[in-house]
Amino acid sequence: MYVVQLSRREQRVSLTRCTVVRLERALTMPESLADDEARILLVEALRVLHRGGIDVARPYFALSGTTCFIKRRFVLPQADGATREHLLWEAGQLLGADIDDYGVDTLVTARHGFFIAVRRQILDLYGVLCHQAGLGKPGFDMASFALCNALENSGTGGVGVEVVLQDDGYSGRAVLLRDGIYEGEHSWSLEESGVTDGIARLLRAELDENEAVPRVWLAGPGDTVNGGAGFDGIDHVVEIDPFAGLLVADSVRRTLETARVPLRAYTVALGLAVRGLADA
Amino acid sequence: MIRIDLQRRVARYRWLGIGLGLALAFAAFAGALYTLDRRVPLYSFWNRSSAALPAPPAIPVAIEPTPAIVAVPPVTMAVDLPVSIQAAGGLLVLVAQMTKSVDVRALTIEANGVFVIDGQLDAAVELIQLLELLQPHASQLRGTKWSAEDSDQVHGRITGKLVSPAGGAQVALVATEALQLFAVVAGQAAGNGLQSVVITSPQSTATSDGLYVYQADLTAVGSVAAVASFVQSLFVYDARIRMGRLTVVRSKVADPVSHITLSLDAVVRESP
Repeated sequence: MYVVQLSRREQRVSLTRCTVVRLERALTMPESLADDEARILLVEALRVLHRGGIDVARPYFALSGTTCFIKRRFVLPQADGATREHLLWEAGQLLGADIDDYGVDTLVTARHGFFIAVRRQILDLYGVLCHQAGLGKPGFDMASFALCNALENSGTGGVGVEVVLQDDGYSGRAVLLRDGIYEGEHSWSLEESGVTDGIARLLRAELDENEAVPRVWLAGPGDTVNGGAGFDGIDHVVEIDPFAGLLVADSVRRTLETARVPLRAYTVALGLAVRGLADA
Repeated sequence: MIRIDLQRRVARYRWLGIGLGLALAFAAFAGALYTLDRRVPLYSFWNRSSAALPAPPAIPVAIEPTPAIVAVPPVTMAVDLPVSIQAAGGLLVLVAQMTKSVDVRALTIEANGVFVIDGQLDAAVELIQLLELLQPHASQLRGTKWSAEDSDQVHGRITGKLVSPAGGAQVALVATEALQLFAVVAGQAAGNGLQSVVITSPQSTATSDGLYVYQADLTAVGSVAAVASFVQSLFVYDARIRMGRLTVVRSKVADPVSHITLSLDAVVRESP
């Protein structure tokens, strides 16, 4: 569990804490939230954080996996409001009578419209988790959106076609951006296929034949792409420094230097923290 | 920055719409009644009519004796529903416990919940003890054992049917959810000690009620205990995936591990 705490004073954002909590055993999220024993482990982990000085008004969690999804549809030109209505209607068509069981929102970009849905039961289970751990009401973001927000916050990227690759060590997620705007994503189990195959599948689905990807941004703790080796046809592979541009306290800097965790591992957590600051 | 709010309740608008619709319908009905009442004094008309009508005569009713309850034969379904993960998992845990006394050579659980366990029995174990062990999760239990004339080895076979094989209602998923779920299941198989795990791309079949069944076959190699542990780890997905058929077979007696084939079904609301 990767944790980042940011604070803002007079428009200056600083990194006040960041840490990694290792659990006794690997948990599959969000399914483990429904398992009492696993939830006890998670509650204890959150309490450890709280005792260790991580004190936030509202913790944010990344959503991914089997209980949420993003669907892409077309946009109605010059009509954001109508596009949103249309996307909600599409969500209603897809989810039918179960729509009340889902939290649904939309994202409209210049080229596409997306509706995002997550099972409300999962949000409630996160709420229970935070309540048991003595934390405030949780906030949520999709893991892929957190990656985009972290990249944007680091002040890098945003030109042409780019891929952000999140490698957790057991699963991969590739997010395609065009001029810094979210376009699509693909996630897969690393036991099922490698990183190169996963990216290739996304690019085949999303890009024209003559389009090239000038840059892949690496995120996540996994080391299957250590050093950027193994990407055919992509020359520029860069690790994200999610803390670029932030004020970093000396104690945190020392922690980061001594910990055996690459900075890119905190990318999703940083994206969530940035989102939390924006909501505050 | 991308900002979405997944905690917003879309349903609020639906309830608002329903409430507004009901209010409009009530107002229209009340308006129509008022207009009619202006032309015909309904209240007084109703009172006069009810007073003028004679009370209906009492009709004698012969009470017939209640017919005896006739036993209805059980209805057999044309199509077998897949087995719930919980139902199969409960049995597998017991089978894993049995491996101390039974060297399980083959185990199959069919989509209708019927299962067969074949194996070599420990000479000290009575078949009835094994049947009693399985009793909590099985019905229609039958056991048989035999041995060849020139051998001391005792072979046994137990057949039965899972109790409540269908379990609770199955949730219809979105295609993306189903695909991700199959990938997670494959990960769980590897995480629970099974090896050489392969899961096929799901095949879809349309059902008569406009839904689709996605079926994926998982093959792996491992012990009965690992299979039991794997299926137990899938309990949290019980409402979303079902077991079509499970086979656990050792190709050779001396093999330390079994070959496992598990077909999984998910109901999906979208066409592939």
